[in-house]
Amino acid sequence: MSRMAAGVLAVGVTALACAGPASAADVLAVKAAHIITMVGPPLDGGTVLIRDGKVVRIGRDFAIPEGAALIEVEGGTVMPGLIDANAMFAFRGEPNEESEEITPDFEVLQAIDRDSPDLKRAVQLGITTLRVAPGNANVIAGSGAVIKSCGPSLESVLVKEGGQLKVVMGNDSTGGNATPRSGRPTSFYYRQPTTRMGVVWLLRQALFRVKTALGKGEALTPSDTAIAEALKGKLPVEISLRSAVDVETAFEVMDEFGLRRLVLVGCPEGYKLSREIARRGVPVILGPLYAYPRTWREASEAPDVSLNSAGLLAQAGVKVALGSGDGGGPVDLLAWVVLTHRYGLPREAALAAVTTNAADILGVADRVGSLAPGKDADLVILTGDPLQATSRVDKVIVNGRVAYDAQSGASAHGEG
Amino acid sequence: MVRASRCAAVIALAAAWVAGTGAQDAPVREKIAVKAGKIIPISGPDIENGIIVIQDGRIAAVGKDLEVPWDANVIDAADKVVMPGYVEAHTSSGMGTPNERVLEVPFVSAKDGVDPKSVFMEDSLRDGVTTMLAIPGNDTLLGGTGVAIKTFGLTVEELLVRDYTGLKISLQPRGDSSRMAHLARFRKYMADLDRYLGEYADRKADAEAAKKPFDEELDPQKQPMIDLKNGLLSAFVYCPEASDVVKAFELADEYKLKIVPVLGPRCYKAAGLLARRGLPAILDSALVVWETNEDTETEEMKVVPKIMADAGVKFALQRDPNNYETRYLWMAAARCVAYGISREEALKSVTLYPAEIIGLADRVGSLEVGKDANLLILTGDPLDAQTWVDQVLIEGKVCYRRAEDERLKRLLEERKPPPEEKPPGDEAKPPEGGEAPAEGAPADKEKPPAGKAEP
Repeated sequence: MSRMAAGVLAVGVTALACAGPASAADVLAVKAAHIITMVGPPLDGGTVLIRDGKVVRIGRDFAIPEGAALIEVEGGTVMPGLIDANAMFAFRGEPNEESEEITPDFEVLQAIDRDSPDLKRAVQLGITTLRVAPGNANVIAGSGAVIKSCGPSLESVLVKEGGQLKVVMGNDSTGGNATPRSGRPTSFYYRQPTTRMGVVWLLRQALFRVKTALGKGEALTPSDTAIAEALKGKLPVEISLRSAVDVETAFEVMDEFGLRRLVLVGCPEGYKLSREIARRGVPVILGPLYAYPRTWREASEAPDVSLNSAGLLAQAGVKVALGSGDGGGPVDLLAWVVLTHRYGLPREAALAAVTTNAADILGVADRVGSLAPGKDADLVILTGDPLQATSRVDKVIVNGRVAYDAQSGASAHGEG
Repeated sequence: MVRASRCAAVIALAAAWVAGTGAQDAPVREKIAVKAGKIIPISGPDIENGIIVIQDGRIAAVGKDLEVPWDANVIDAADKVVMPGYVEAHTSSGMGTPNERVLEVPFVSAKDGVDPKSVFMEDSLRDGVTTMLAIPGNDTLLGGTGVAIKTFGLTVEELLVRDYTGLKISLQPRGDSSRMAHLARFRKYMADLDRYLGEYADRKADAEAAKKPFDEELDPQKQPMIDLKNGLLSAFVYCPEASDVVKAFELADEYKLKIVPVLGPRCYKAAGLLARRGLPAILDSALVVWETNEDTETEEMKVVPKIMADAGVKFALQRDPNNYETRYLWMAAARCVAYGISREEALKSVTLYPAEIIGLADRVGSLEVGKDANLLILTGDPLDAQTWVDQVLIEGKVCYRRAEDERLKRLLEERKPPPEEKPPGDEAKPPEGGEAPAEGAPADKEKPPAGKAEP
């Protein structure tokens, strides 16, 4: 606990404030040469004033309250903490329940490891918020959770529970499944589906069953409730997919069951159907990004990617966010921002892809994704412009507490 | 026409003969002057509004206020930045399978594996890499020899800058084999080689004593290892862990080998050792590695190039073409700058230092008189993420123009939707012969006029 106090008084020397609960006296002023708020034009020089873990004021001409801790990075740029809109790490154990293919009421939150090394790394890459999604092995995989990358308690970390129903299309959920060569598929371990067609069949079956039950006014099982919410349009359905073909299939299913809120995830070939995706107002969480397929699945499902996937989608009018996806851990999202911008995603859209757009798609824009009074004080301080590879993360602030400081090398993590 | 082309062929042949390379792309026998807004020569301070004069594929002059020779073709890059082509000191990409299954194959050569038409080679040129050492992969104990190549040409012979450069030794045990067995294998090979050479020398001495002719040749399969022993080849030793660097130096001392450490990502702990040896190293493409601090239970970010630079180790950077953010040498250099390495050192680690490591610093890696005219004409600063390679000159020849890079356009622009299929009824009707191609369709211009192909 004494560490916490030290962190507040001498920020930048020891930075372990993240570990302690917020106290009312915590006032922090962050001064920088550039402030990117994502809600208004960038400010040249100014201060972000933080109290009790929230942004209270941003501007140039106000006095910093006495007793406030001051962080100043010469020539630095402050921007909202980065959001990884589709993270598939930080699990305790496996991310997939493999004994069933349809698991709509499964919640990732129960499996999140807040002490995982992946989260500790994510903070240092500037990622302050991430949506942890269940794995890709189930047709209806359940719901994810939006969490902060750093904090002493579940309460302080949790931004949004559930929030989206994850569906996996294409060949991902067929991986390793096969009917036994001899005998009958009666074993508990026998898994469906084995084909792309089987995936759609299982998905439609589940949606049809619940739709029928709703029509008849029958009682729903907990498992069906999540699907019912999605059918009613209360819960967005996010479909993780790779091929352009699957995007078309997703839209067919969307039309068939009148799903109103859809999000496409992964979507490396989505750029081929950018106009149709835009026409339907469906946002895309793009990632992992690759130039040439690295795995057999990428090679077989979406070998033909564009370096400018994000730019082409955005150009058509699609809201694009970035997510690390099944990359196996946190990725350097800023490097992705740099490269997507290089290849054609406009500056504002590239920044929005890891801030405001991600927050909007995840339904957490009231708390994170931008810097404005009342928003969570999640900040990244960079040594230079975020769209240059010559800039690096210098400090990361989560919930108003310094969670990482490159100068001292100290990073904090939830040891309460 | 016929005479002219034959004449050109004779000149080209003569040129090839003079160059002694036998390559089909003889150096361009002409003068070129590049007027550059800014020259980054690497070997010296930047020059604003400078001129580079190229003659016979080599740099004849670099400087400010130079006279442009009257007979020079001028490339106007007044609004551009010119720097030497990037050099990569170690790659096993662009050659299909880079590792032989058998562990001891010093006699194989990357020359036989390099695919000049691979996408990797094309990407390398597009991204400004003009010279690299293609060398067998990191999965074979005695992996074979490398070949220094440029990135433009149709055949390996055309790519060749220098054959037989470096021998790959990997200290990475394969599969479930142990490090002990791996090193024992190496020592056994060397002992066998010593015995073989001893017996060979005995036979030679016997023949000489008996005044008999001795025409037994050395086993060509052992030749690269003999050359390694004699210091004619350098060993590019892949060290997956820091402890393997120690082993690499042990082997170097024991067998008197010249070595170039090729470091795995977790080798940063060997920085001090490398510094004491004064040896440059080739770094892994992953510039940042994570280490768990057991005491504080934190994940510590280790920035490998920074640790190396602080220890005083010279290094060369390399790419991982399979990874979205580590595919570029410019970006690797930019990341180095982000982590606090000076701009000069960062740029040298993708130009001059790798050239030194592969023993080609007299030809590539900087813009100096007498060196190969391998130039990048950039739209801006090399470390700026919005800068593009506009033109690449290799040995004085323009090998790449961004404006003509069709694949890059394809990779960035919207794909054209497939032509709409006509209903089957229309398809049955044969078209009326001699119809003019649709206007405004550039692709059609290259096709022979309809109706001509068929009688």
